[in-house]
Amino acid sequence: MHRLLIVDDALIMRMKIREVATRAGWTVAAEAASGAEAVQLYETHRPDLVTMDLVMPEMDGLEALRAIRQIDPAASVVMVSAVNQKEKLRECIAAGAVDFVIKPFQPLDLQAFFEGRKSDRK
Amino acid sequence: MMPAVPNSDPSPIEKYNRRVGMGELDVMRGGGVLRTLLGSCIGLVLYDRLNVVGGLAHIVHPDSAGRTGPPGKYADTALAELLKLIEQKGGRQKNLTARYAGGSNMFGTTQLNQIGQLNTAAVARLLKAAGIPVLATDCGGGKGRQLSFEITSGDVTVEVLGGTPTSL
Amino acid sequence: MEQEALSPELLQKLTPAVHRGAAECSQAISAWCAAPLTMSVERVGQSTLQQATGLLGHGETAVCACLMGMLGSCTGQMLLGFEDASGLTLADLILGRPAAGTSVWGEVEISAAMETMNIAGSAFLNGLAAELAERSAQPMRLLPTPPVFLRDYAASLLQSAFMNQALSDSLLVYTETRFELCGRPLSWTFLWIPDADSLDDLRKLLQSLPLPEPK
Repeated sequence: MHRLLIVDDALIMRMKIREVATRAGWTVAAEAASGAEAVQLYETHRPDLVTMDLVMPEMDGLEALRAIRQIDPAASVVMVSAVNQKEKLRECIAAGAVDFVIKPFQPLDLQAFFEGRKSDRK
Repeated sequence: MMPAVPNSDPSPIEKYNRRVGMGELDVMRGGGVLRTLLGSCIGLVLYDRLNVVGGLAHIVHPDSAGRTGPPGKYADTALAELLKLIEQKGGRQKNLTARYAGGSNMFGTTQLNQIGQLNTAAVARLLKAAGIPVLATDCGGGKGRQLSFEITSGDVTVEVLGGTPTSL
Repeated sequence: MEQEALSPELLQKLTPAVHRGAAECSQAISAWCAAPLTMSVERVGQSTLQQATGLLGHGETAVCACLMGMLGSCTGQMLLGFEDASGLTLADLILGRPAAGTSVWGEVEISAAMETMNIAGSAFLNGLAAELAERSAQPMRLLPTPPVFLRDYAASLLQSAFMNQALSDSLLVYTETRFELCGRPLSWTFLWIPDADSLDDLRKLLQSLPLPEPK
């Protein structure tokens, strides 16, 4: 089973990612609307993959990524953000993000991404 | 949205109903309505009921610190200018009462919260120093306010979007 | 009397960056809405407080505004304003519903509007940062804060958006933008509003740049 944690403060983005991930054969274990919630839910659910928004209230995605990687150094976290600036991307990769998806994404592209990640887990 | 375009020649209705913009002030005698829209700014109303003279200032900043600018922009210069214009139109400082509203923090930011509170505190302090009693206030919160001041009756109403106008 | 915040020469130097921001924004929101949406910056405006509070139409009109802050090399606010009908049509577009199908701002509709601001504002900052970084050979970091959605009097919203700049003695600086959907004008307004401290930094940066090549 491929279990996903979706992290985004935007309800509509969580809905869209859920729809695409489900179509690609992933099961959504949980959804979080902030970095703080994401860290708690990661600890509870230990998903196979996390999609992480960058700009969120309370705790941003980069801080949440670092916290999750401290809990689980093998955590697979993909950043999904509209911020497309080299320095920020480098920071996320350096903090252990496995990939970066720029918003807005094409649903078919994201579906292909999720299908590809399934193969990586086999 | 098309930007609002002001008329160059006010009609009689427009002379009676006047809008006070950000950093502006106005005084009327005998009749008329002064209106303003507020966010973190303060709308300060002074009224001489005996002589039916009143003014409204839309205050942006608590203290001019000696800067020149539109007198209505700063709490200290706004009060001084209102008092001067009220006297010119036949009002008397000893008859004046004050009401004010605004100072909201619409975006939930620290800076806006601070400026709203500083504006409110400055107006309160200046009115106390001038010996002008404050009848009512409606400040703070996170919503914009529409303030209307009717000169003949002295009524001040404050309305938030979607709400019922309330008397101040 | 308020002073000019940016000289005509500095405005000229800033123009390519805001145009690039607008181009990135157009691309992003077209993809997001799956419709040909364009944003163009007509000019970087400078005006008095009184003039600026008319930017969203008549002050007592109820308008919706999605607002994001800016952090990093330039701080301030970005605002996307629209009236109810226009905003709800946007929500319908994003949610794949028939146009004019929705008449109420529910949780999903508000989320659609806020995420549009997130995508539009972030893309604008991406373009602005890239252009200024390339031309100055200095790293530029322009990051948004999470969006908020408000529905209130137009004048009250603008007052709050411009409050930081209004505390200075300069004219207010902001972008004047135009939106089109399928080549027809949309009554949306996007305002990029750097705050007073950032204008000082921006002035210094722009002063160090050459004038853009004439096209």
